[in-house]
Amino acid sequence: MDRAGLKDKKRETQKEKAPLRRLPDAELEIMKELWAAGEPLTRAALEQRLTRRQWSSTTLLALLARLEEKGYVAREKQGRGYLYTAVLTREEYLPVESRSALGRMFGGSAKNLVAAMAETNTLTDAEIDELADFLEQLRREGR
Amino acid sequence: MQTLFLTFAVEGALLGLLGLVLIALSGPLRRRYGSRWLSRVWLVLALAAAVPLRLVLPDVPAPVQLAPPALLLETVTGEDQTEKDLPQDEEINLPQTPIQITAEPEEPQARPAAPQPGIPEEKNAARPALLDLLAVCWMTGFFVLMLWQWGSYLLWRRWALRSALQPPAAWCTALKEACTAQPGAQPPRLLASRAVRGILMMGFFAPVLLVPEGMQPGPDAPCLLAHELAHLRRRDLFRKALFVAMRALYWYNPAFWLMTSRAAQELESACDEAALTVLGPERRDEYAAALLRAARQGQTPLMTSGFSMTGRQLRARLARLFDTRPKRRGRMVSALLCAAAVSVCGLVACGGPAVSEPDAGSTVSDAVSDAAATPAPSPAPSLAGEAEVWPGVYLAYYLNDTGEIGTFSDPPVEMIGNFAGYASPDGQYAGLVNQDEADGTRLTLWNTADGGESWTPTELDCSGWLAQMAEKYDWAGRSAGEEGQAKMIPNHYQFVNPKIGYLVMYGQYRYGIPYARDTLEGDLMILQTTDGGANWQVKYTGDGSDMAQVGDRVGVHSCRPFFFLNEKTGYLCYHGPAETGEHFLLLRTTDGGAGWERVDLTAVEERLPEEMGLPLHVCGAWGLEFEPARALMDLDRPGSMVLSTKNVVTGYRGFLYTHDFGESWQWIERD
Repeated sequence: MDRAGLKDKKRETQKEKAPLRRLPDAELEIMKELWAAGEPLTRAALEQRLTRRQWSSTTLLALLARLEEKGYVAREKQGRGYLYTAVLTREEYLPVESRSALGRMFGGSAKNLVAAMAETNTLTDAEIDELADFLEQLRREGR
Repeated sequence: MQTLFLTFAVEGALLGLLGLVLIALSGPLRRRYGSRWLSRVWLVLALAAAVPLRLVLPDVPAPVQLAPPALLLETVTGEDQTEKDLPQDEEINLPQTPIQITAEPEEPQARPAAPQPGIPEEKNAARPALLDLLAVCWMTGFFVLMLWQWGSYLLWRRWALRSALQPPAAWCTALKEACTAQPGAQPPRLLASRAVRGILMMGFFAPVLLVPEGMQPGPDAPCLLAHELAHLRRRDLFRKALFVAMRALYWYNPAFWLMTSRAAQELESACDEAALTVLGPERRDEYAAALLRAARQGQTPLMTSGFSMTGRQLRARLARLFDTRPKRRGRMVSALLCAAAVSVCGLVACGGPAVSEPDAGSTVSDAVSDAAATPAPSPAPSLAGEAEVWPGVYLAYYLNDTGEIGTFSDPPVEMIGNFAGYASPDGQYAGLVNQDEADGTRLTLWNTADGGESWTPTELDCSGWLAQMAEKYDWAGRSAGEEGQAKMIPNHYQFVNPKIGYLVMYGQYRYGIPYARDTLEGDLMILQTTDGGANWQVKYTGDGSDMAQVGDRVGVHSCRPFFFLNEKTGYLCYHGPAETGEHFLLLRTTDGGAGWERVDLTAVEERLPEEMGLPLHVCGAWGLEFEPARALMDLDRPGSMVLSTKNVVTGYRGFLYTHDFGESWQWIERD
């Protein structure tokens, strides 16, 4: 079975399982690396990409095992080790985040969240145009 | 909390005023010194506003909240007949031989009631309640704002980071180049997030540069990255957090909303100056255009490097970018403004209550300490006096375990009896007053000026006073003709230096069968000498009901209720009638014992542990004779005094003490 075939099979397996759940930070971090790589990664490669987290090998293996159990990650034997593949794409996962407490609180929109806490000065297009004219004037005067 | 509230309120009002002046002058100042200079000034102002200097400065003298003494007020109101008839300040002479005191004290009831301290009773009670309410409102507002601002920031941060990915390699390259252009700049972590619409920096100790997900670095990237790195280098996020905290701390003060807004704008302009220094003035046009395009991103979260300005503010910022006039360093003006801010805080610090830690060398356990009183409604009179005084005295030289009187061995046997006394710190001067058991109308003042080598007795005949009291209180009638004996009982005998001394005594009539005698009370008398005991003035005579205005006679039967600090100032641990709810009070005189007023101990009481109970029961004074109390005194300077406090129910004990004639008070638990 080629790699694409393996991914499809695993995805089907995942869909048969429980509905998608929001991932804890550490597991999400691993998923992000797998998504960013765009290809299956060995444990050593993942470890290298996650150096910043300073996880031990056993921690990483435990997290990968959990992800595999949840159906987010599939592994394939390669030589003496395994290749890890993200079963779920990022686009498929993001709605899960929006359903989280945080997402529900702000309607799943970062814009709403920012609007709730930010300085609320928003420039209109007309103001921006006016400022562009003013900037042009400054440039002319500067010269 | 009340003290903290008042501290911040006063500090905020003064610094707010200073901030408004700075806002008014910001135009000319910016033109002359630049935005970076002005930004530093805002920072100093914010730091000054954040620290309650009044509370952190050690041992700041705080006036006790009291109105001018009764006698002073009475003198001001004019010479009415009643006042003229009062017995105080009446000169009596005490020669070395027994004398008859012929002075005839007037009816003490004729003495007009001393004016109530400061403000009327109802207002006195209402003020702390109102202050408490305001303090609670302020604290609630502060916590709500902080919780909202920090909570929403942390939520947004979590949201942004969870959705963040590694950015495209082009961003990493652009950041690397930007860092190369800024010597010493540490590249922050770079992430692409769906939570942002423009470049911004967040995180205080592990800064993260967020770029919008799916966006490639455009031509504006070098300018915007230079701007963000300038924020990072200048640690602007800490400044923003400080401004946010200031706004929460002074949420009720509109000046601070204006000030923090101006300070944030100035911070952006200062960052522009710093970024242009890196990019070079030739890229000014490019930088300004990049800023304008970035402004389209609209709202930005608090406490990130993102900016959100009104059109007018952005217009001013752009104008500042093109202000190419040379700027001065402005060190002198900086120094002056900083000095002004510090002076404001200093003034606040010296103007009222302070909290200081218990003495490090104290032998008693650490507990709560506090200075007394909220700012006085009227200036407290000077308590220090003019005469040089001893830094504390030994009190009540009663019989010790070995049968000796204090440290003086082999004293005249006649001295032993019912007495009160004192000794100077070096033991050279000492005095005892004792009562003749057989003839209770006579007191004998025993004095030594040579460390106890020789004692000089001076008799004081009190029969005249006692006769007055017998008539005034109808001792004969109330004892139903039973045979009794009038006595003058010494209560306190103390000199504050070789010349100035006090004698306190009270009259009593005992009648009935021996060992089960009934007692009728007489008057309390306070006498003062300023010439080493040659002449005495009656400063006060009466039943004490006018002293604290609680409507009943004062009880001075407990040990050492009095303590005098100099020719003017003295304290009395007043034990009044329990049913009034004002059983235990601390009273103060500032005129040598003639007029007495309550000392407001609210500020101290607020910090007492629950076991101490309220109101604070101030039992009596301790002198140098009691080692734990002595440890609390500062013998290098006069004006130290220690009063014992105790909750009679829980047995919890402590000391109330002062080092500055009672200007400020502290409390400490007693082991």
